[in-house]
Amino acid sequence: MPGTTGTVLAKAMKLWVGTSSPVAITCQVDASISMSTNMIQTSCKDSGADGAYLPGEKSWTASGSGNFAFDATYGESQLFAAWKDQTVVAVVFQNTVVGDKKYSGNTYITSLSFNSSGNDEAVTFDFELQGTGALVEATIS
Amino acid sequence: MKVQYLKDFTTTDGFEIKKGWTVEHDDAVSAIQIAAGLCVQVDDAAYPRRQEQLVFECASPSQIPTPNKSTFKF
Repeated sequence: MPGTTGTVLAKAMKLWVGTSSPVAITCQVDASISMSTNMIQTSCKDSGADGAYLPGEKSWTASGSGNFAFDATYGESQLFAAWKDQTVVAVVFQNTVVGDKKYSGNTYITSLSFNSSGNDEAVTFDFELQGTGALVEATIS
Repeated sequence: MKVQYLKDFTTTDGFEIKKGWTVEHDDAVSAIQIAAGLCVQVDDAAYPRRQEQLVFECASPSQIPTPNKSTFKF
């Protein structure tokens, strides 16, 4: 299936919550997902001048921000409940174009903040999610 | 695709959606939900909100009670 050709625009790329019927987090401003590998240093006194490493544990996080609305379908209130109850939040990072890739996995909310900055700004929320288990790549069908 | 629910629906993750709510699913999920008669497509600019709104549904003629003439007073 053909997907997006060329640069993918940010507007449609969002974080969604759920597994079988994912729901977009309402009124997102930023969404990101980040992967990393812990590198184990294996160089020793017998090594040369160059450092040596082996890959260790992989981990991933997701984060985002949005505009705060009390009546949002999936907004700060639902994120607050998941943070308070320490429940698993299944997330997907994707747009809605058939043939494009999507990235999904289970997370816990590690930080959540509500921000009212200045006098002439929208109230916003920010969140960070720690992935637990694998981050899976699949194709949107 | 954004949709407005015509009936209450709970996802397998336990997220409860009430009749009238506007929700954004991906296109494939929305299409399945629409085909199941759970929701209708709404404008992409619609704000996904939990506010329950009036949803008008068509009723079949058999569901519409026939007025009893004796109830009319002239």
